[in-house]
Amino acid sequence: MSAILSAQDLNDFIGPGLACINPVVVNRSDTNQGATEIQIDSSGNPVEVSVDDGLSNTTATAATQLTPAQINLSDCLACSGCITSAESVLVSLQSHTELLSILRQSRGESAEKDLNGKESKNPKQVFVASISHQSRASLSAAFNISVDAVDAKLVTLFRDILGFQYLVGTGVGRQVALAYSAQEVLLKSGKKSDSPSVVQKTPVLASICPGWICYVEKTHPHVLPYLSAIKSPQQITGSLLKRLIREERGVSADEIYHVSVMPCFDKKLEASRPDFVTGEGVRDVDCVITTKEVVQLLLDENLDFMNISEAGDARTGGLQAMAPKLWPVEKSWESSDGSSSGGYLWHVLAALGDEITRSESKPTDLKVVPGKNSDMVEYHLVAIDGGKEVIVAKAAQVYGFRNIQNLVRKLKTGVKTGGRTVLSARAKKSGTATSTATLAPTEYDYVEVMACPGGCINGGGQIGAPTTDGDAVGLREWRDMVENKYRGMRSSAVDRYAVQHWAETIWGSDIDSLVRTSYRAVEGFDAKDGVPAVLVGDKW
Amino acid sequence: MPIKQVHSIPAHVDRIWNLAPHPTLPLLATATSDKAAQIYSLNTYFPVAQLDGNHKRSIRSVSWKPKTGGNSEVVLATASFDGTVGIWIRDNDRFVQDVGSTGVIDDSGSIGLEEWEFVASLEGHENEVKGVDWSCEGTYLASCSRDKSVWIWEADESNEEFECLAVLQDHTQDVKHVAWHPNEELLASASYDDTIRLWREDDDDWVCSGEIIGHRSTVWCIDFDKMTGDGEARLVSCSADETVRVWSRQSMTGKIGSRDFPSTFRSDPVSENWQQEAILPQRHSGPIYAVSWSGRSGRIVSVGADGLLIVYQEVNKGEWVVIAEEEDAHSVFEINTAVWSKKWKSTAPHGQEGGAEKDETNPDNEEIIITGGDDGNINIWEVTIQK
Repeated sequence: MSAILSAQDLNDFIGPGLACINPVVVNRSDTNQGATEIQIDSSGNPVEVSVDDGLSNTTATAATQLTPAQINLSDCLACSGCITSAESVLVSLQSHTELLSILRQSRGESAEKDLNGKESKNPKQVFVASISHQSRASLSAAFNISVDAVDAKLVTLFRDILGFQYLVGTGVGRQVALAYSAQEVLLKSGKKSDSPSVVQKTPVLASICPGWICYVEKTHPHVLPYLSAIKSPQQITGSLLKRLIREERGVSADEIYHVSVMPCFDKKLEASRPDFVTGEGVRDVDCVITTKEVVQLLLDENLDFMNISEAGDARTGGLQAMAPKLWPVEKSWESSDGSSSGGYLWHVLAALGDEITRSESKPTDLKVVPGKNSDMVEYHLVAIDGGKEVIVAKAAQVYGFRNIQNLVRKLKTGVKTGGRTVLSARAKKSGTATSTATLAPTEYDYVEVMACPGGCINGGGQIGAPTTDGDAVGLREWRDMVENKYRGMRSSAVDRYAVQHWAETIWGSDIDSLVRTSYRAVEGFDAKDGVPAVLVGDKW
Repeated sequence: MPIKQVHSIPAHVDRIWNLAPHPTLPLLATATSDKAAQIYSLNTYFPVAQLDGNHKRSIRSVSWKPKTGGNSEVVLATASFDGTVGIWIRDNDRFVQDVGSTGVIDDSGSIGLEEWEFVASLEGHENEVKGVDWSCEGTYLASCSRDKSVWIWEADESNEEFECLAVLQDHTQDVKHVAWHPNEELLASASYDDTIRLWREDDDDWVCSGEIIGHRSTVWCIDFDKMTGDGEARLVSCSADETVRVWSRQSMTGKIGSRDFPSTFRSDPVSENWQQEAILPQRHSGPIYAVSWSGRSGRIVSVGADGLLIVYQEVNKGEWVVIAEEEDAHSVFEINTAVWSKKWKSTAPHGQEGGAEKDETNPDNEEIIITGGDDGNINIWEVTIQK
């Protein structure tokens, strides 16, 4: 089983930057600096003292108090700078161990003391877990059992072994995200009769992928206006769960601990975004663990997943009991049409198509135009008007860093955009002049962007392909196997109006606080402020 | 003397990082700390163009697009410390004739410079771009950077629109140099992480198909053997570990480009196995910054921080001897780049010595070595030993 885990592939596909986002800045402009050294004073605080001719000057006036350099996890993950293999292993391993320690603490088996030696108040009382579809598919492929069997084992694992009170799939959060994403594009494209509340720039870019968001915020702020404002299923699920459980159990939100199982490490960053913390410091998602870390957790606790019993009649009895009362349980565990990253593009085009059919009484069809590689695909929504096909909307799926490069470049104003067909290199060699779609972002209504090649099903936190002799499976083949498990899940259609009605009933009229968020450019380190003391990658 | 300097062009005030002779025209491009690449005529050794106005920092590397088929455009790629690669096209209405003349002569009879147009800027690298190279048929352009990545681009027919095909991040340190195989779509890269990596297309993605480990320090430069047979590959590398080594490919799986090589299973991942064939006789006493493998004589030249210029010849497969050695080739300065070039027929300018006529019967006289150093000079050398 340890062959499943490989510490070295903590690759979330967008490479780390080189300079620390929170560098210690050395101000070269200080002119009165002679030689200095750092000492610890009598109360244990660091002070900087000047050194004259080799003798340190420890008088009170000569010493300057130093503030400790601070960097916390949010900063680090925001940067995705120096967090590479070694450190990120530590970070990720801390997460499931953090979970275990919090569980123990709540059972009274251990107590956490704060800096003054007092036991911290408010140990967590209610534990809830949510799990993504891609993680379930990954477990299903890795253990070679059906997704239903995985779900049944998960109930036993979380409820009986770990002591959780709630376990849900992220399907409900996803349905809400899909419904509001479709509405967002409809309003922006002017294809809906309702008055627009917010008008967005063409094209609308999916913002579910935190790796993509971080990259845009840090490196390409010119793309920010295009991003969809709709939150991801992870966060919507968290907000809904905490609201419902709070009311159901009469506990305060900070006594609820929400763990989310996700296919990648960047989701940890998303959970710790300041936008997703309430005024009282309560997070919608307290801890994200990846699919790989679930396996690691089992190993640490000496559990064999295959030996975990399947909670009887999980689909009805087990799962129903593990969800908050007002939670549509079936939808929670069901998947949706479209891509294995969530089907955002599919649902946006379906909504646009429905609108055309309804308002213009024309049937619609979807045409697929492959791009120059498997991670780039264009979709044309055509209306059939008197026997002729008219393109009414275009959308594209753009996965992987190399395709993202082309997307962000073409969204820069002043850059000539595509439309011109690039003869694919392969076609040139074979002599035929078949053309493939080139990215033309300004012609699209929506782009589903994911940082990982293949999308979320191939996330950096998914369980890797078996590599032991005899069982070894190629990477492409493994990705297809996990994808097939995903496709085998039950899926249901998204009734936009029903979903929105349900959400607004549960949440209240301030629905934007449930489904909308915003992004901002990350202020990069500016060279004119000084010089960073250390650049990551410097050899000492 | 087995080697003599036939000319020296005091081209730049500051160091020359890189030189590239055009594959078919008598043009030489220079990459210097000026933010402008320069083009020199290899007939007259006079400058014919200055490509400025775009880059914001030194040009580190230059590469000519191989002229293919009916396309008569002359295209140069410039890699800069400002993080971008510039693409420049010569204005075909105003350029120095290929053979003979000394410049664009305008109405007043004085020599002007060619017009070049800056047509595209390839952005994406996070910091200094160190190397750039076009593939054998000009289909792909590869760039490498201190950000540890190698990028592969594809241009459309106008050379103005470039698409990123791959961002390859397997190297663990600064990537110093990239070079393509002379006729396969195989890319090699050299890095501060002491390794050389090979890259090929697998289905619709580019992957690292092989890794060459052996050098004990930064690999500064690599060059492929241009005279290998079909399906063969050899490359020479030079390093801060003061060695020059030749490596050859022993075996491979999967396809290269559109050509199928025998492989047991069609779904084999592309991979290749390279072994060290030789360590060339050691003469350098400092980091070796550049190597070049002649496609005419099969000889190798190396230059480095110690100011030495060494020429090697293969006497038997895998056995190399030094046939020429020049100390202080750029006086006290380090030498950053060396390339073999066709020797163009040239009339000696201003009565200077060294303008030997091309000897049709003696192929040895067909080539020269061009070096560039920290002194800002371009030196031209001829090896006078018969093969």
